Amino acid sequence: MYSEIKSSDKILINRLDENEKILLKDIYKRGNLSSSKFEMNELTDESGEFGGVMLNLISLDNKDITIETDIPKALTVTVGDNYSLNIETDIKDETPVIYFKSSDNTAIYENLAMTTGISFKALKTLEEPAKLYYTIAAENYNTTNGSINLSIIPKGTQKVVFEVYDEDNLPITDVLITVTDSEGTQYIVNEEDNLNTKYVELPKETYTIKVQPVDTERYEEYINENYIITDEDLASTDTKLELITLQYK
Amino acid sequence: MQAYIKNGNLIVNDLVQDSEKESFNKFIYKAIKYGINTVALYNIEGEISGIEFITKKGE
Repeated sequence: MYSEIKSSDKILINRLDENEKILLKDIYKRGNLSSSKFEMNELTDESGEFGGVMLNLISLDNKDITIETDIPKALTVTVGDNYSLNIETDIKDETPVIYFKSSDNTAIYENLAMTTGISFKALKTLEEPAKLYYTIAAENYNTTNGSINLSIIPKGTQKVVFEVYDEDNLPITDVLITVTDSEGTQYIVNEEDNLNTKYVELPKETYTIKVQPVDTERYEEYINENYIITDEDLASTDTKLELITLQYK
Repeated sequence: MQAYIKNGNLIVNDLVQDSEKESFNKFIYKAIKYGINTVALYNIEGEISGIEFITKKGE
């Protein structure tokens, strides 16, 4: 009877003579060592008969995690926007926990301890790329780590909200607001939920803001010909609030 | 490396190569750690030389 260690978990036993075949087959059928941690697997010889066993320790060591999703090495995101990356693994027998953190803690809003991926919001622009580190953990698995180079760029437009009041600080709802850039392009101003609040999305530019009251007998028209959207505005996640007061006539 | 059955127990013994020893020692360590009904066998130098699986009837 021949034996060979195949790994630290497996021992092969084969090349049996007829007597050994009877004895080993009896041991195999008895199965009194079998447990959740050990099994004896039957091997067959060339004629298809019982030819030996493989002694197999069922490893209690942690298994490695295989990531089944293509995770990008680098990602460019826009400040203020929410991003989600789905991460699928080969873990089927338990629920993994996925942690992540940014090398620049001020640049990323983190939503920790998800199970299906990572989700975050870029809080400010960065001149140099940051690293987004992620860790996938599960109880019976080796923890796996990775990172993504993260570039955070300014958003293309700045949301500007206009609120119009009279000199007594009472809101004025009946106004027409026009926003025009240096080339004469006019931007549509939309209604917000509040009656005296309107908004517009503006790229970096110098604008003319005109607020025309419906009640022209009571209020003066408001004009600002030098309203500027800057790089700082585009890099910010905050809405820009403009409080406009119409003068009485 | 050879195996034989003695008194109903399966014995793997007589290691030859060093590469086998390392894996075999790990196998024995795990088997004991996992609570498998086994006995380590030692040669006259006191080194582990094999393993006896307690497979006989009634065990």
